[in-house]
Amino acid sequence: MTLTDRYVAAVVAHVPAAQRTDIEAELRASIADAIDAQPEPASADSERTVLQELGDPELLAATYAERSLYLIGPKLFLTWKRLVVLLLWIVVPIVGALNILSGLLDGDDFWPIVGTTLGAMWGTAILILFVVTLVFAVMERSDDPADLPSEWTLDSLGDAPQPNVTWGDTIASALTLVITAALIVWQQVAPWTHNAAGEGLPVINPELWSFVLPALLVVMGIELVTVIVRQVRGHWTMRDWVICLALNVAVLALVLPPLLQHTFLNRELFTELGWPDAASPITLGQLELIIAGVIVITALTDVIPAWRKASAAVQAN
Amino acid sequence: MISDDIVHGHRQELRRGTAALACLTLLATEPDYGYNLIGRLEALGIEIEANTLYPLMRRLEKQGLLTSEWDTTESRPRKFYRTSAEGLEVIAVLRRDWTALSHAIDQIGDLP
Repeated sequence: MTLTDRYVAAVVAHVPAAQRTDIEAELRASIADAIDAQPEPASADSERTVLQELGDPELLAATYAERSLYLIGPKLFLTWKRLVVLLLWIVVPIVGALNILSGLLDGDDFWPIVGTTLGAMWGTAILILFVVTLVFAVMERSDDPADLPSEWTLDSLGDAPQPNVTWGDTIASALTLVITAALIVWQQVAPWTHNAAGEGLPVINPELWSFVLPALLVVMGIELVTVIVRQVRGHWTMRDWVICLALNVAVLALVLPPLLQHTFLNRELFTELGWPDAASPITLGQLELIIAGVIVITALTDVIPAWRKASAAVQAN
Repeated sequence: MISDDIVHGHRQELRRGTAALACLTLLATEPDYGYNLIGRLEALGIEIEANTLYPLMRRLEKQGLLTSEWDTTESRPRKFYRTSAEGLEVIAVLRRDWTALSHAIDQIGDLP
């Protein structure tokens, strides 16, 4: 394999498959022409000089593919920044307050409360930054990032007359919320399995009722209210999207820590069931990672269409 | 003393927009392949790096301002580009702007 072969391979690896053959053939001809024009065409140095001048193959490929070389471009940056600041101001204090409250209710001491509260606030802030940046990076790479209103004042995003909230969406969202909440409560109050002593064994770690699960139910309750409010109003607004994003971030902030720390599922139940055992294809920890993945994907499939609907409604205004 | 970087930055910005115009105009006079076009531009005193020009030609083609054809008659197959009818229209518009800008700058006259 010559240097040119390696260089061309490195370029075309990063361009769309449909253009690969054509770009490769053209690039090879151009490189060969440039080498022939060097003072000593046959020498290895000529090849090196020509390829060196063409520069980083991935940069060249990005120029060919007209791919942006930044995570979030100037069109979306200000919206991203404002949203991050807004969400941090709204969500982080709420998480802090809820943590202090649950600490006080549990009768914890002062310093442990301060510690867990600061930890939770920090974790939430990082999560907000990560999720919002991820969503915006996806938007930046979607087909037409241009359809975001350039002047993003809340006034101009007030009321959009175009009704684009369907009963189907609303009923589906409401049913999902109610059924999920019911399942969370049901598996606790009426467990399907009992231990030898006759005590019920819920699926979700019952210790999470000290804070995470009640908070999750509260968040889902707020979500249900927003879904209904939106149906009554008849159309999406940018504010709906911000709230939708905030609620999804809150859900992730609540359920991801126990899932990733492997304290989400009730170990006692699975010991009683004898599953998963050594012969099972997955461990409980892996099951929790899968649940975490499903929850993250669900959040993304909630937030991204919401953004489309909200911006479509604002455009129609 | 003003830094070379600043001067370089301004000159680059001034030239950036003219690359497409020069490319379209040259390919309207005679179809050409990428490597040779660099030489023709250089002869006119217009310097464009290969790694800028090749993607630029493809972009202009995608926009329908250039058309292309593979010439396989020679031992080394080459992709020849030619300015399309739409490309000629764009040239006319850009040249008008270029003249107007040049005229406007000249009108300001000599500096004190």
